[in-house]
Amino acid sequence: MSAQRDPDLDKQKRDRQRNGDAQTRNRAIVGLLLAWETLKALTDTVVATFFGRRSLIDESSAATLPVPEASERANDRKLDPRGDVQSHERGGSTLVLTSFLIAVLAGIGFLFVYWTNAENLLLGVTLAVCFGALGVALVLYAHRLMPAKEATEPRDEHHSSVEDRIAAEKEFYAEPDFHRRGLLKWIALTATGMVAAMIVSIIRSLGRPPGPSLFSTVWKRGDALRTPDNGVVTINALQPGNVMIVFPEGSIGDEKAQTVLVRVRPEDLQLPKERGSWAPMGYLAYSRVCTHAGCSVGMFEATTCQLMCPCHQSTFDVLKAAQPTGGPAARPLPQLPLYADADGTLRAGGGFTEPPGPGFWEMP
Amino acid sequence: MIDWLAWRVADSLDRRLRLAGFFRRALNHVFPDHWSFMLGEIALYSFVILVITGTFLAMFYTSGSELLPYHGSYHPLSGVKAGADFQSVVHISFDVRAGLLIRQMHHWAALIFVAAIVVHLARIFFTAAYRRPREINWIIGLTLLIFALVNGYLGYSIAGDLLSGAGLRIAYSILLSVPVIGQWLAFLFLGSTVPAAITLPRFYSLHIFLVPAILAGLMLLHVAIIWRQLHTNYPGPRRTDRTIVGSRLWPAYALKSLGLFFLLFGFIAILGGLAQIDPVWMYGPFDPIAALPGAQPDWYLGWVEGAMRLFPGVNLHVGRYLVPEVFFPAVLMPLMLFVLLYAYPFLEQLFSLDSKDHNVLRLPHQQPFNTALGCGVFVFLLVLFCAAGDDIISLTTGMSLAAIRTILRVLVLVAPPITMVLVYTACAAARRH
Repeated sequence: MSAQRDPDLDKQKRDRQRNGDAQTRNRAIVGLLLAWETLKALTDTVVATFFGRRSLIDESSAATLPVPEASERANDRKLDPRGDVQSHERGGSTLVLTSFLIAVLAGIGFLFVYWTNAENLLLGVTLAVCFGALGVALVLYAHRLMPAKEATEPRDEHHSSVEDRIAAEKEFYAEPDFHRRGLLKWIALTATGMVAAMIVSIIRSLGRPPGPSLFSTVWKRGDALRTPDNGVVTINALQPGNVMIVFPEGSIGDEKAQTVLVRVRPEDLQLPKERGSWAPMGYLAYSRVCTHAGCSVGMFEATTCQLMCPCHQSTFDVLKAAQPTGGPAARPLPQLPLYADADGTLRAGGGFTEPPGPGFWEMP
Repeated sequence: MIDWLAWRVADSLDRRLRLAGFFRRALNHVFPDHWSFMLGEIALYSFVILVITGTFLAMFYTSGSELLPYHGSYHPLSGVKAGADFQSVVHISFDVRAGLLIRQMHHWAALIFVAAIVVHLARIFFTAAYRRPREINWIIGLTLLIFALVNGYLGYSIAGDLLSGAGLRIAYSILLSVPVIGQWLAFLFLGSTVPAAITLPRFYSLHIFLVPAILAGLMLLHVAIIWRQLHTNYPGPRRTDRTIVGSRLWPAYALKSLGLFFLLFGFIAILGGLAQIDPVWMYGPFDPIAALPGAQPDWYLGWVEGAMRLFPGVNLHVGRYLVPEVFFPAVLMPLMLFVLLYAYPFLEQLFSLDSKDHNVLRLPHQQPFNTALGCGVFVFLLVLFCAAGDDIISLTTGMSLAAIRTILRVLVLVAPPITMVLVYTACAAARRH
């Protein structure tokens, strides 16, 4: 029997303990509040003695003066009228104080972290806890320590009264000394047009005119192919199924001249007849600037012989003169004719077949 | 003491500026309470956080495209040639005390800023808050959205890394694709090639000066107009077109709003501390030859990116001129969407023959056509957004890219009308009950 404990007794004990805790806490808060009030009273006395607060209006007459529209807030509806406002508010203030205390501690933590190792994660967490707890404190304050009230007010019309409009119009047009209003209208209109034309013209200063630069690249007949490290590219540079980036000699790194060199088996080639001689020993060269949106066509799939742009996944068939085979691109990659000179160095047989890069209005 | 100081300041200001009357009216201003009315506030407060963090970043950022070897404390990049722009961003991230936190908070705040504007816009649309007399604020809000998108894009471009370089290339091709004036647009605003020496310094001054100034001005106007017209109310007791019901600005509303600001600041701080964003040192500096697989823009440009991926490669010639394939998804489609949005309040007035002033909102089920149209546009944009990640979907699911594209191309045409019919039917049924 002794092992069986009376649950009611247990509960009472717990309740007593909890009440005791709450009482101690409440006493502490009351103490704090008392101390605060005393401090405030003291300061107020000191301030009043030394700084002497002047009132805007004479105190004696203030009492008799009506406060204008004093009833504005008086009509606000009290929502959720709570029975025991006193205890509710006390619970609320504990929460607000706790939350604010957390904010202060986290703020101190942030300062400590900042002045020691300034570790990103700890900075972020302490800052977040500090501001988050401050936010919670403010929201709790608004919800717990303020009576929930609902204001209802009439709305004014969105437009002016007819009298106001007529008066305004009359005074705008009928100022007796306002001669030749038509002239002023014309001055305003012409000046606006003139200034607008000047602003539009000034925009011209932002850059140089397009000119022919979009239509051509630096590639010309006879240019030797060079690797990005300025190495010579010969007919032994690649095995079939491999690719490399090449530039014209003297223009290494030129964005619009970047070219992809592919080697395929010559018997696989399906180039148009007139381009038959452009691929010595299965070497093919295409512009590496995507015709869709100008990214570098940087991926090559050897099994299907497709070049692919990583930005929007347009694919181009290397064997068929880089015709688009998938994705959003509409135009083939411009081809660069190639030939091998007597030393076996690969050289350009001319410029690209079309202007390289994304499309534009005047593109042929 | 504080009370006395505040009183002194208030007293001396009022003796010079006659403020008490206005102050009192402001304290008594009524704001309706609803969680959905906080979305605009979140956008406003994100902007404040962007200005605070952005000012800090501007103390360190330098623009400059001349390539110099990097010698900072991030060793994997030692000796790599990079522009001053990229180097200063890496410097902020690794060598400036709390620099990484502020930088990541700035980027996260930008994402949240645009998100809050978009969700706010959806709330306005689905409750018909754009109706007369609030068309002006609808127009200002849309303009704010456009400038927010532009500034976000400018912001992630100026880091000078490989990812932002890809974004610049794409922007260049989009400008170039505009019929007739494309060449001039691209050359005047971006330079002859991208990124030209002039591009990023220009982007920087736009990003930190012109566009934020426009945003701040328009926001001020937006809030001033709300103040003048008073906020709308959801339907409910005592809420009519001639009354407003809510909390007074002081103290309840002001405290809650200030609390929201700090909560948002805390949320962005935890993201900045824990969630890595735009690690430019992992992409490396911009290199015109390098290709970056899996490149994605920030979320709010995903719909344009997706449209560019889904739109088929049509080579349209007008006479001897070319309309590039990029023009349709990246210029025409966004243009049409925004024209529709700008015109919507006026179109509705035209077709419903309703030009009265409205101060009480409509609930979504009370306006089946509106809700259906909004949901249709949302689904359309959602499919486009998914399409922007089709290469990533392909990698994770193992499906072929071509198959995913075909499915998405069908979905983008079929899903919006189906959604519209379903939503319309559901709303009409809800309205009957």
